[in-house]
Amino acid sequence: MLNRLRSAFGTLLRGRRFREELDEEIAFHIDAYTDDLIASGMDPVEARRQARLRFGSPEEVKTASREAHGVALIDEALRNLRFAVRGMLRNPLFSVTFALTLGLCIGAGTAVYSVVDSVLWRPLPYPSPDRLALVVTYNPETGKVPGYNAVDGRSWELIRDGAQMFPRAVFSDWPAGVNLSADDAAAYVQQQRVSAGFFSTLEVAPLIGREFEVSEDIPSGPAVAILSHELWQRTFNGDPQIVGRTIRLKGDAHTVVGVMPAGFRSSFPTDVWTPLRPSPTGEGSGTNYKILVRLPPGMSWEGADARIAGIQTTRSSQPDAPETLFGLVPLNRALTADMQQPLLLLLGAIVIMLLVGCANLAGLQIARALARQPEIATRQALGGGTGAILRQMVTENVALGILGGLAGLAVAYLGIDGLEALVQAHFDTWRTIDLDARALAAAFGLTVLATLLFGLAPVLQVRKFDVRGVLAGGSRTVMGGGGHRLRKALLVGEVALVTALLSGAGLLVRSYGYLDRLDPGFDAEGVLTVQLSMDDARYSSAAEVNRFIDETLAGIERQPSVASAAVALTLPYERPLNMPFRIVGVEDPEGTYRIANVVYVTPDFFETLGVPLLRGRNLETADGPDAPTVVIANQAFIDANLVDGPAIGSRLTFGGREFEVVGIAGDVQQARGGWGSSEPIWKSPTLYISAAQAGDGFFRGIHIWFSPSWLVKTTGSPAGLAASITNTIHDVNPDMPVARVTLLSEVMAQALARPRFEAMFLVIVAAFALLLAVVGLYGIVANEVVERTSEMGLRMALGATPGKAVWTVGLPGLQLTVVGLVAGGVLTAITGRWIAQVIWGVVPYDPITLGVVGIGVTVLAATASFVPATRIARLEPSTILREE
Amino acid sequence: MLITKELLPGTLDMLILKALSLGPNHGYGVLLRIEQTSKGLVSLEQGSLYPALNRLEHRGLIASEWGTSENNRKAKFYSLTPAGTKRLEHEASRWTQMVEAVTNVLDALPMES
Repeated sequence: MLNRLRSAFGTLLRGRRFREELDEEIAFHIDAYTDDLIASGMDPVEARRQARLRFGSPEEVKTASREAHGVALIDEALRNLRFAVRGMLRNPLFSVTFALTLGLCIGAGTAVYSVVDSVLWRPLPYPSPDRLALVVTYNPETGKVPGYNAVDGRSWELIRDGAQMFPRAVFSDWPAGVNLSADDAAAYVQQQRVSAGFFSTLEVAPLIGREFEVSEDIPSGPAVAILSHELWQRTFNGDPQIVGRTIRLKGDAHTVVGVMPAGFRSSFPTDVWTPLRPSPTGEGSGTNYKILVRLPPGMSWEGADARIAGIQTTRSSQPDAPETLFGLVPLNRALTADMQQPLLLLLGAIVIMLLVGCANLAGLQIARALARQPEIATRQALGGGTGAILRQMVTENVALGILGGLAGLAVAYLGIDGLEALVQAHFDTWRTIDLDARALAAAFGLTVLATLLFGLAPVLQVRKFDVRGVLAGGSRTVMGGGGHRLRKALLVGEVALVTALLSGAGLLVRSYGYLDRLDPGFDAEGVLTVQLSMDDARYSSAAEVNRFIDETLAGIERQPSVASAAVALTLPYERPLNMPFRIVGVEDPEGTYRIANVVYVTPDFFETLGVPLLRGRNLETADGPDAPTVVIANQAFIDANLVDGPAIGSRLTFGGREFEVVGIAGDVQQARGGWGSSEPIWKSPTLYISAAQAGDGFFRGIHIWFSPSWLVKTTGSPAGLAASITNTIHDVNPDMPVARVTLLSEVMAQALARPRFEAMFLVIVAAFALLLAVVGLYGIVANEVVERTSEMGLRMALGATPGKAVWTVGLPGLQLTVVGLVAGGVLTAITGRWIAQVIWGVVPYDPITLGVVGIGVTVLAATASFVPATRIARLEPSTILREE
Repeated sequence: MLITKELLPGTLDMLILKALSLGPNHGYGVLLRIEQTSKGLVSLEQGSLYPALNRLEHRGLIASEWGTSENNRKAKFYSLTPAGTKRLEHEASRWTQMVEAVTNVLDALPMES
């Protein structure tokens, strides 16, 4: 086989020399024969004539000899390719439409698939990542809930002691911004706290140094830290003597014991790791830990799950409490649980666009093939083999496909970086996104298959028909019916898919509109926020925290353009702290508890944000550390907990202290915090306590998770104020890095960034799909116009009005659209149940959305149908008939 | 006398291989050799020899080389490759079998059943 290929290509490449050699060989042959004839007594002139005659045509011999080397197919392929290129240039509009459609489908499909694959499906970058799992507790009646995989300190102790055959560790999945200082450098870095054995469970060893030891992972163990490779390079210039050096984290001296390898990531981007020191009390009394285990070699997932389930959970030992079990969730699925749905939604949208694109390509192909039927029939009538015609068509289609493939590659490469940035900004992921070669191949294969399949079907059909019929029919085609039916079916499918996609996009837009128009409950106008980490040894007591708050607020309020300023643990539209509480005098059933968000604020908080105080009084400076502890509840809290009796004066206990409700404030929108509501933002029951009355332990505990914000309401430009506020803070404490300076309106926008991104993405994809479908419809009607021109001319000559003729030609397009719309409605109803999970404030059968989509598609379809149809009206019947 | 077109398909290739098995030769020589060894019963359309030679060369059954002819002219000489030798043996035995089979049938006499 190889030899033959070499022989074929050798012949091809030698081209001229091959012919020259043959010439020489033939000349020798004829000369030798002539000589022999002369030798046998023939006259020399006659001998040469005879020799030539007997030899036959040298040209035929040469061609046949050349083809003997198997070059015929290659020759034909090259010829076909030249035809194909010429054909593309002759019909540039078709070629460009085709290549762009193909490019869009391949490129967008590949880029989005690559993103989804990178974020959701690619194995985690650890050895044997499919053997890693999180241990979760779950109610066997409801099953494991993806995304809910945090456990408390007692659960960790049970797993630590009960699952000894598993490599296991526990970590905090709560990103904490902390202040790092070393020598003269100060930086705000991301810290993660992990237990001893965390890195060895992942099977990633530190690049230099070692990981945490059990003796360091106990309360009041030695303060040690492990650096990320990036931090080591960035802040310490890759100091090879880093192990053993002292750095200050949150003001406390820590000894560096190791540096992780470059590119290592745990569950979120981390600069420095410190020991978790897990405990069943304090932080560990709530579900603030995640337990990582690795399946021992040879153990199946079922076996491992059964072993883990065999360990008694804390709650099952209590009477009446719902039974809970320990179980395993594969690590990758656990970490990506909340991204699964939106990313699959994006992928689904792209797949629909891809299908519409394929249908459109098929439609274009059928139209083109129909137009070429007379040419094909002529060639067949002239004796052209079907094989040769097929080969030529395949070449043309493959050339188009390659053109489209290149366009697709360009789209994918240009799109992937932007998409990566968008996804990393809107989804909680650190995964890098690379173009997936398999996806590219699959998208390319699918579209080219559609191209070929529908490009060739009409040719194959011609074989079955009478060639004479096609030729005698002139411009009309015998197989028009079959081809048109297919094309129309494709169009109905396109309209149906586009309708469903547009409805989905419309619902997401309506959902985003609902979220965006929700009354925030406060006025963000002119409010600047500055976030600082207070998780710092210098602020380990309530007195120190409050002195810092008082001094910075006083400095800020002295500035001329500042109207008022306050400090709050969390901002509206962000995720707040939640705590269980009890109402004094109310007996709740055993095993149940009430939960509310708790925010510490300074007295001017409500004034700064313009949150109305509905009843009672505000927090005052008099509500100091020694005064009775008071709390302001919001209306949602009252509605949920204190509907009976006077709310003011009620007493609540939480965090081990008792508070009196002294005022009721208006509700503000807050991000969901894993309880109460599945909406991205909602007016959650909230308690506001005075920062001045918070205790040492409360501050220390919550400042690990939350960095409080300074809120400044300005009369002038808030942006111009940023520098002077930062300076004021540095006047009070020069070593206080600023974590974030941003407008409150930005914080609000950020909270809705993901629904906005999803809605925008779907709208863009749906718009492209709609464009494709409209192009397809326009093509069908335009084709119909051309084919029925003579018929319409005849009708008009017989007295039909031009309007009637236009109606007759344009109507089928509209009819197809209506059929497509109905099918699309059915599709929307089917997908509605699923889409209901990602929309808020709007039902999946929202009449406004469906109405707008239906009317919009109909209007566009009518335009696409009747614009080409009006061409009929402008025609002169006599001209048309004469042309026939 | 048989002309090229009357030969059974594939026979020409076999004749060329046989001719070359007697020793390397140029195209004209192959032609003469076939006509001579057939005792004048085969008369080839001379041009048809060359596509056949090229086809055999393409299949790796013969090899070619430029050399000098008996009257000192540059000529292309063909020779059998090992694959060609094998093919010739195979074709020849098949041919013999076929001839024998056909002959047997043609020689059959009416028999009492």
